[in-house]
Amino acid sequence: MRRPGLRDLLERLVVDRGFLAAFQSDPEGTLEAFDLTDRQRGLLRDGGDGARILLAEAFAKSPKQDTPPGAGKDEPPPPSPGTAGFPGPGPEGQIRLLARLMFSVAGTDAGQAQLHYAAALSMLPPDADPAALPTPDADPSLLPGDRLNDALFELKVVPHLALNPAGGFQVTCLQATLPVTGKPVAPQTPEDTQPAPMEPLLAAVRQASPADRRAALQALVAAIDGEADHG
Amino acid sequence: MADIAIIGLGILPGGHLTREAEDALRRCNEVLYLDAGIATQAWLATLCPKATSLFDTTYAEGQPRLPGYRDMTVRVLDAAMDHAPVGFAIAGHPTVGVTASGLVSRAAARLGLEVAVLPGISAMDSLCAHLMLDPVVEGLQMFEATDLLLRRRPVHNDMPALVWQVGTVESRLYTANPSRPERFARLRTHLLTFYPPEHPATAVHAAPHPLVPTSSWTFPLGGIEAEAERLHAAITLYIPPLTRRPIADTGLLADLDRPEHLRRMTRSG
Repeated sequence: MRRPGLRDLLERLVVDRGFLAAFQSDPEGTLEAFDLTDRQRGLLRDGGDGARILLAEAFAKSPKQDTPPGAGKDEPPPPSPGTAGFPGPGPEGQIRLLARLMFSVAGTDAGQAQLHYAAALSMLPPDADPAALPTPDADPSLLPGDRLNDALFELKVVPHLALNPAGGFQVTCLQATLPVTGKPVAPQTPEDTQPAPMEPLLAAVRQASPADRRAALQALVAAIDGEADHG
Repeated sequence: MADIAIIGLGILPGGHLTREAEDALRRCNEVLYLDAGIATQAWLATLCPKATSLFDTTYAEGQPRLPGYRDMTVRVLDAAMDHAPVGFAIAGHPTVGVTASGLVSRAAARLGLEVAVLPGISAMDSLCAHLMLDPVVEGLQMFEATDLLLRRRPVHNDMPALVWQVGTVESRLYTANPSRPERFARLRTHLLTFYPPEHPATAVHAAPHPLVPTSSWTFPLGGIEAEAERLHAAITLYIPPLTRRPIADTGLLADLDRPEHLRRMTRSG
């Protein structure tokens, strides 16, 4: 059976208050049960500075601190060649996308309002300014009724091995702009209930299945964060 | 209990947790935590059936930190909508220097989720104890290092000053790599408009483990670039006042100990 080592010792000192008290009153006796090198025992005897060195070393060796390939280098690896017709991945394999979420509200025969939404994506060349490019659009027939304001997001897709060692990606939102464009909504009368700008995104979260909820939450959180930035 | 408890774990894992925070953690179905401490996972697993680190999946070398805050917000909200109550636990105090706490709170309010914020011991509390600093006596001004430069904020050199996040100055990208001296050139120039180069500054690292007590070292502000390797992300910089502001209202000073002045300001009992 393996004797506990340095990492076990450092963890137990946090988790087990009784063990911490025992260590403080009899450090040498307490360390007997641990498989430590002479250097580690010496650093532990030194107190603060020695322990600081051990803690830093144990942290650096922690399997939880793995970072994606390319991390820790001053220069990013050169971009991979792109597929013909596409800009190709940027630094560290990242891809930038311009995403447009479009919403509309249409009445049903039962007199209820129904929310429709569609998304369109386009890939951005590595150095392109998204504001200078035409925004992607969707087939207008997908969005019956009155168009609401669109949401425009700049997304970055990067390989994220820490998230999924089998080859996962992380999608992060670089910019979210609300509102952007859209057919003007009919003038409101005082009796009308003014829809909150977030309502379509909130509705999408509430209606999403558990499997789809994170994607809907990402759009909502990006919009709320963007609202604070611009507010 | 609220759907989401935003919990401050304190700086010292295991040692700084309040009773209130511990009770909340024990009632949560999952705690999602932001703390890179070596034993935090094992410790939180003794308090809550499921402890999930947010650090490794939201910070990546050379990547922006801001999207990470959104990502962790999404994960906390998703967990709360699936199996509330959940905890969002952060090292230190949950609303001191933590962008994601505010974002979780605002987004949760939109979704009708109830949030409770449970305070923790911050790096500032540890610093005050370590330096025997009483912020009430002379006041205390605080700056975030990058914001100090972005806005070229004036510093009052007759008051104590704290500079947060000095080790991450001038970048919103995450890195675990040590800094080069050049990183601190702009900060040095700005601070030297208010202090002479020989004015001392003290770098404080609050205790991250029971074996490693809070530590500090002092150096002249003009030599901050030489400290680059040691000024990591968890360091807070303390700058003592250069001068003491003289009392301007001598009339008030005279009134402070006069009973009739107190009677004028209070109702008779």
